[in-house]
Amino acid sequence: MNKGVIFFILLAVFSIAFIAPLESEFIKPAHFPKTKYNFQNNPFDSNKINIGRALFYDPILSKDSTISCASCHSNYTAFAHVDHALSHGIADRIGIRNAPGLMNLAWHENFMWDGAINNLEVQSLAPLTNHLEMDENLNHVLEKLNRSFFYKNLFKKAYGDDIISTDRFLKSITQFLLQMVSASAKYDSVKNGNAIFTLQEKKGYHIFKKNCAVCHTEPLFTNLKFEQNNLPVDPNLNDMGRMRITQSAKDSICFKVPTLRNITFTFPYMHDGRMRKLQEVLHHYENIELLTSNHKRIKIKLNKLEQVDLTAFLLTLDDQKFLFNPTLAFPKELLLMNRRKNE
Amino acid sequence: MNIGMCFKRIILVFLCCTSLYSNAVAQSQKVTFFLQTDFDQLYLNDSVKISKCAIYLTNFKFYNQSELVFEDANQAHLVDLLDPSPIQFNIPVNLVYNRVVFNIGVDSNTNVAGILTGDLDPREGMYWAWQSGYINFKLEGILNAKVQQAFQYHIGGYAGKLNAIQTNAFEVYPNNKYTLSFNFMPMLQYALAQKQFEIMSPQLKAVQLAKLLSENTTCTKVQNLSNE
Repeated sequence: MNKGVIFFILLAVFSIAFIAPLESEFIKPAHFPKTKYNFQNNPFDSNKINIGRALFYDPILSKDSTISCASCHSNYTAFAHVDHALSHGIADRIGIRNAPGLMNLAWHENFMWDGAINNLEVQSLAPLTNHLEMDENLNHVLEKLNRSFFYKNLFKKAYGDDIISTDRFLKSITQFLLQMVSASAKYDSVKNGNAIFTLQEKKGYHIFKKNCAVCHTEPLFTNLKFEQNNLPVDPNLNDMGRMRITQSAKDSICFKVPTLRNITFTFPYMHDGRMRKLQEVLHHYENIELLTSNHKRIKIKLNKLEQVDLTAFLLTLDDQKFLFNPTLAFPKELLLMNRRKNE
Repeated sequence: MNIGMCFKRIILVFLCCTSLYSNAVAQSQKVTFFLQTDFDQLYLNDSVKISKCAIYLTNFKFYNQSELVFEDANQAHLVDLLDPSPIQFNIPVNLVYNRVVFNIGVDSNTNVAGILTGDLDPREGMYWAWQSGYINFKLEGILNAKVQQAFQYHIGGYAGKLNAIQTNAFEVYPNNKYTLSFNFMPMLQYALAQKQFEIMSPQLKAVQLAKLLSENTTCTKVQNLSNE
């Protein structure tokens, strides 16, 4: 064969190898903004994602091995703790805040209702060590994992040796958390030109843009900021929100704006889960004046008909593909079958 | 070129590299910082017993006037001040410097950088999991009064007005050894006078204590010791 032809074939093969996304590469939805997570420090690897997935569903992370991350973050409810106002910990301990849905985490710079956590890689340490949640300590978890042949094998496959260190442990969980991308709702199909809103959904969308979008900004449906929404402080919880972190009066009773994606499945609502139904939330906002973190004063007025139309639009944010994504579900084969063989 | 010739050239390049490396190592000067505290003074009248004292010393930089000439590759040194090991730097022999600058505590960029290793591994116990951030230093102990009173100061915070990191600068010169003295007495007296026995989170009082420690940190040249 002509040398020139061989050269071009090789060039084409190399180009495809470099241009085509790897199996486990993070693919940003076209209509989403730039991500905040630094992927360079933690390049995706399917073996590391596998570890993260196993750990997420494994109660080994809690002190008495009774609860896992998934206990409060179920994949079938957008990784929220449906029907539970406050998070549950080991020994029936009750936390102080609602376990939020987990999705599109690569776009967040801080985590938790008060933004106490400043990087996704260290997020898992908070529930892991919280007395009201898993009540473990990092050293003990790493000891347990380093005693497990199952995990040592997984880490060896992913990292080349079987040492389970803090950074490998946390970066693996992070890789799995980053897989939780919800961008396949009807809203997304409309944005991508593959579907159209019904008339009612369209009306609801206009109402949303007029009244809600300042805080629940598209396409993540959160402005990622801390806002106060005139909810009275629960005297039993006495939760002052973001002010606990910054100790600035301006952050008093400000909480991170939750996404509205998959809202059907993430009830109860608000930072303390005080509202069980979406209707209650809309009722709270039907005649309200709010001061946003940008010092904008906004007035919201929603009559009953508008609330119905708005609800129709909010339902277009439900993402069934995300909820039933098999790669995010409990890893039966890994945790049940392989583990038995290994332990 | 035959294989034998290739092999010879590889050996030659390897030898040259080894020689260059050896020269570089041989031509470095060591600057050593011994670390000490004023706990001996605290113990004199048996009024205070320190049970824990750990500190992050970070971002050591050496300057000649205002020009940065050498930067510590090891970003952070976590030191147990109850049993401190000296901190030593190998600086190229041709470099001239007259000032060292370092931080007591971990800077904000490092605090938000995600999970880190070595001395910055959260396993070291100097990390707040509930509110991401490093504890710049810990001082724990018991005050022996009529009623024993425990005290715990976990001083940290990196953001805005709660940033407790402190920068210290001292005059230093090549081929010398120095003692960095961390004098906790003023800080401790200040806190105890206010009946402030616990600080366990980022707050303005923590910043105040960090400043007091920084202001009472000194660097003195070690006399009558031959250089290595």
